[in-house]
Amino acid sequence: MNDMQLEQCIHEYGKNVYAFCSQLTGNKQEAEELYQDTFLKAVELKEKMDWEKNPGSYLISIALRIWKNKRRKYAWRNRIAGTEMFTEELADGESGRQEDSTEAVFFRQEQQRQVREAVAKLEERYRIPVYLYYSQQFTTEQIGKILKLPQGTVKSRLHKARKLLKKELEVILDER
Amino acid sequence: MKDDRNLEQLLQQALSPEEEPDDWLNQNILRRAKETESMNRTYKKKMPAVAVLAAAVLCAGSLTAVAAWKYLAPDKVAEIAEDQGLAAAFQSKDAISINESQEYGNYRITLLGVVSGKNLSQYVTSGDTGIREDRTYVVTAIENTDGSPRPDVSDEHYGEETFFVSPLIKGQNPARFNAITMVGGYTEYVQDGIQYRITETDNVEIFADRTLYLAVSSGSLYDSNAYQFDETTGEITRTEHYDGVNALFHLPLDEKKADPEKADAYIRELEQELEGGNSENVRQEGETEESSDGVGRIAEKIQDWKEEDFKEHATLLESLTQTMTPDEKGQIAYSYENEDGSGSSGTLQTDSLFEDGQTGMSEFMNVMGGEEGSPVYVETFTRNEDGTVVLRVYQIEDTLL
Repeated sequence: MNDMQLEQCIHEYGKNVYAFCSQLTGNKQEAEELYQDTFLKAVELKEKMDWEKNPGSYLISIALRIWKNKRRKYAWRNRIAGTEMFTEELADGESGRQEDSTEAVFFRQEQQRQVREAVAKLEERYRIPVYLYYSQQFTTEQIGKILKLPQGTVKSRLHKARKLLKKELEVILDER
Repeated sequence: MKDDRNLEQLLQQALSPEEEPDDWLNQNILRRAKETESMNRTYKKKMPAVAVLAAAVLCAGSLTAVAAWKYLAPDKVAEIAEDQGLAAAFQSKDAISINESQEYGNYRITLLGVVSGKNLSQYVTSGDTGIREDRTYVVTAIENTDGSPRPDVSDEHYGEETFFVSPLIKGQNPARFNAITMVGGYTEYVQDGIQYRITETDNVEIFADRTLYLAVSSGSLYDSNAYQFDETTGEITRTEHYDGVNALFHLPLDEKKADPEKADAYIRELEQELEGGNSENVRQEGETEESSDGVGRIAEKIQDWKEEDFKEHATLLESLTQTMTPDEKGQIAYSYENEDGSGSSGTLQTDSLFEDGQTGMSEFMNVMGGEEGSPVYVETFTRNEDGTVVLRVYQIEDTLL
């Protein structure tokens, strides 16, 4: 990958990769570190990476692998330093829709915060497919390739995740 | 069902990517990538701009002697970039000297020269598929029309206004065929307030029998708003009221150098690459501990199984068997839950399960479960004569696990 290709890659996929890093780490500083490491790893793997073929899922699988390798380090640091939770930041960032009343905005933010929290609490095997499916908009086939799982397993994990979330978010769902 | 729809909606809203990464973060990646590249110059030797600066300072004393005409000649531009090979190529009879300027906003863009051929530069460029020997090099100059100097590469304002320089080919959509897809790169520096850039791409001389353009536009990527592509005539033109630089020159290459056969092959190859979209690499690269789990082995084992094999080696969960009639879009939707709490739901396009007119069991099957000793289930799909599709769920016998 040359400089221009790297720039193009960041331009096209940066936002999605960043969102995925934020969801995996739940912490701004670590998300930024993971985001940088992901692209630098992609540069390092330039001979193996055919950036024109599905770079989006390629970058996501690199992020996932680095995160798995570094998880211990992240977890250790979390215990010492504490974290600034992303969910709050994201909720703050959505206040720009002027047509809604303050109350409605607050209500929606609160709902979304609860949804993100419920997803974050899921076991990793359910949580990651949920991020890849709903946030990254990958198909179950693509997720299978990223996670090295048969498509059917991805589907059953998503099914289980939905079931768990439905239970966890019962109150919100009843309100809608 | 209403809950399901609401949940889908909630998840999509709550999890959609909202925040952009900070710009400094992206700049940091680009800077670190450049540093890594310059430390690992095995066979790709693109000169980082900072290194060029040193060369520019060394040569500054001799400049006044050359400056009878305003711009440096292309060979001189290459020489200052410490590329003697390319400097020699620009002195050869194959090089084409041009001195054409266009002005947009505060910038004057000048196309100075072009040369193409194999192994011209003493620096080798590699793309993802190996070394690129056959290249085109274009030299351009950018200056401020108000006479103020362009910021030097060491200046903190350097890079605030970026430019994208690219050859374009008549008849080929520039959004797909530009310096980025043609494995481009560039070296640039500022000399006497003028920003010189040597842009290189795969050799475009093979297209010399048709119109070739050189586009210089604002930004660091190709911007479809800056130019118009007429799909009928293949003509590329400037967008008249574009907010920014969108210069467009004709690249006067030697028609005799055209090679239509090679050109077609190049286009075909690039199109294939752009449309490829399979993720073989992802599979090879992202080896994880999950690749060797039981489900993967089972999936491999049963991929050629027919209905009789399932009857022999698996238990049919009869209560889960469903017969479905495809809707007007040809889709079937199903949902069920096993006794152990696992389950599945999905919508499938019957076209993707069966060939036209095919009846019987589809080759497509879903394998799931098998985690931490839990049972492995397989979903099969069988089309009847009347067009209905039967979903059967089998539990695989432990002996196969």
